Amino acid sequence: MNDQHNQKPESQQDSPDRESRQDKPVDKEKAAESAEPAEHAESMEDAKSSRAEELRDEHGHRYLSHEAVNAWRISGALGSLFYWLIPLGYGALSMSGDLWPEWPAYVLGVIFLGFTVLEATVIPWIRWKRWRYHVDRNEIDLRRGLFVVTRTLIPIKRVQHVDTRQGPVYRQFGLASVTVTTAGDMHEIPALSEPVADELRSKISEYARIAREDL
Amino acid sequence: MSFAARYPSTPGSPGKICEEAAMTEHPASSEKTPDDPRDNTPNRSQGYSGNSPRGSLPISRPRRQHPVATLTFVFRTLRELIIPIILIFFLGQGGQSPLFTWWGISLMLSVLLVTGIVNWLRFTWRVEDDELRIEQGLLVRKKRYVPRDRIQAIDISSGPLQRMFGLVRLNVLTAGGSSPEAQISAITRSDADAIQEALQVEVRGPEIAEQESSYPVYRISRKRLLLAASTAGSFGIALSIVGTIMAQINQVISEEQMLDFLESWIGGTTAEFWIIFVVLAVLAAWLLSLFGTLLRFSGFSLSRNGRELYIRRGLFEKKQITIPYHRIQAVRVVEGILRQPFGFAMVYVENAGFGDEGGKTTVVFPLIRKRELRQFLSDMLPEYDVALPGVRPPGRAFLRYQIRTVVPALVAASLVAWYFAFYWLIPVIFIAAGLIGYIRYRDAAAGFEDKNGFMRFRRLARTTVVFQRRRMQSLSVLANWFQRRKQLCSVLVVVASGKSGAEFQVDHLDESVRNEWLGWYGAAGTVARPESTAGTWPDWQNVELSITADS
Repeated sequence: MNDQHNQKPESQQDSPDRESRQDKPVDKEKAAESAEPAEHAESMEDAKSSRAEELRDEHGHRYLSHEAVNAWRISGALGSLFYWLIPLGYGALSMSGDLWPEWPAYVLGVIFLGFTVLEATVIPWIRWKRWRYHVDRNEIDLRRGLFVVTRTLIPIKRVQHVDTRQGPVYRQFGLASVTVTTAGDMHEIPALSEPVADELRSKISEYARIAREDL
Repeated sequence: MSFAARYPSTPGSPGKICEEAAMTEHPASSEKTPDDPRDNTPNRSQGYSGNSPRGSLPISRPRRQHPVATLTFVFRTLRELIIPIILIFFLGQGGQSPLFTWWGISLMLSVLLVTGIVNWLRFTWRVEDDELRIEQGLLVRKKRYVPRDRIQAIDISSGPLQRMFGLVRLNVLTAGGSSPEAQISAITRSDADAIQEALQVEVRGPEIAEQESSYPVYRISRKRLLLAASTAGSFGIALSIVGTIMAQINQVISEEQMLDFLESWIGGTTAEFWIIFVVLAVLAAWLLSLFGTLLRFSGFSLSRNGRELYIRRGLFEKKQITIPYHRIQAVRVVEGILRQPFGFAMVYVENAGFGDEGGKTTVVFPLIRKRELRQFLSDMLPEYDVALPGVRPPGRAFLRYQIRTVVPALVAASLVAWYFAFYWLIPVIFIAAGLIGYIRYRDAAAGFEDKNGFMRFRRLARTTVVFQRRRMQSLSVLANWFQRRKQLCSVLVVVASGKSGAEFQVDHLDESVRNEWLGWYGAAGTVARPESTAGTWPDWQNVELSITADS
């Protein structure tokens, strides 16, 4: 658990370099970091994504599909456009009257432009790198987070139902997310390739059924 | 005595259903005798089986409610609409609106009354095949069949209208929040008893809950109630209501007129006008929350039996709430900022499950002395009467608490100060926020031992939550970038509460608690108690109670 902690500054430092090399096969670096290096077929996208999900970290926890990075780039950039309403709204306000100065509109515009660029480049990559999950008979263990690093434990006994979900962007990339609902909250394991997501869903619901019978 | 005789029903429901019903010999009641040996629940009253009207009118036939149900519908709808009506009155043109002429009012009332009559005509209930079957609706027929084994309990209560006619309201509580819950709003007591007998579930009514003599009953005294009401400070809702009314007044009397008035009276300036305005608004909000609390909690009593808590409260309309112990997820003790100096707190439980009132955060005692808490918990919620080792945030967390409190407050204060040119507001808010940040830091604590955990945190009110590990839905440990730099983390616990959940979080604890909490909650269960602790919580002292009134 502490290892995860120490890892953070490092990954934050080298992420910009990584970003520039993004178009080249990323697998190499990832594999070098992870406990189980796998051999690659660099040209093939499919092979790439399925291998990413087979990777385990030093605790034996799994990664998400590597396609997540590209899917999140698109959804993140699109989502960040929503925040553009703030500088645009302010701009409209400052045009209409003398009361509001114009310069904050430009400052905000630059900030939000930067944000969109980051969402379209580095952020999804770091997010992917940080995301790990582990499911066994007893519990679901999630580690994630860019700014707020979070680890969550959900006992299998508490799982009420499991769903897979797929939005338009995920569908484009052959991805799906698994959502786990308890009596008190909901947790999502995002961006798994479809077969992995289906398998995980049936595995969790099977474990949950067994755990309930044991009660 | 039975009203049933006066309204033998030939319901307007489709004939097919009537025939089916007629063919069935009320099976549920035939297999049940009053002295059924299975029925050995401790708080079951034997008194009701005698005057059951089974002989006269079979409850397997579709039956209507008492006609008073029409009126209860009208009053219930009016009560639900009271806030929109007030809003329309104040936000609209007030008296000029056509809605508020005699014609408008009588039209509204007659529409309600006709709807009520139609609803009454179309509403039938019966007990058939071990199910309570309710059918209703004019255009869309709604059938709600509640099978016996889904029924958790039957609550019998009565509002003023029911009492006037010697009737009761019957609520069917089912297991699981999503499953149907049925209500029959006006039937005779004997019909209610017949339903209960046919379905073989125990009835919960005031008489029964208080027959139990081995457990104490907690009631609120007048003095205590008044104290609770005057320190309630539920300002959020109250202020918004006052705000709308004030805005309305603004339309009637313009700001200039009011300023003129104030100047001629006390020679005030704009700033003074606003201060007076704020003071008046706060006063009005305070009065509103005072009366709200008085209405809500007068006649509050809490009793229990071996399996559930039973609450009665309310001035005009008596509310009855039943909380089975196995649904309680956590106990929350809230010391409001006005109450804490006097050593008072309010006690809530978080409960999963059913009902409007029973399935979420419920007040189990409106105002209790902190030193009476140990006794109260051991009487009413013994599983939560615990003392647990815990830790407080380390000294380096102090700055994080300060920043988190002071920065947002200062931003808000600067905007207000800039807008109104009240520059003195900035240092005042700065000092106030600094003090709050300090008490937030001082009061935060979290810990666990074996099966129980606790958390204490403060926004304005200080909240202490005690929960059981087996009731937790999930545990998260979070650390943002600032926290990681200082080796701090936050712990977040989720328990079920109503249909969703309740989250409790303690911020900026030392990073070492991460592995302790994960080890305690994780399936491996490697940690039983924290390695180093800073004391024992919750730190209520144990003293004799002054308000216990044994029944």
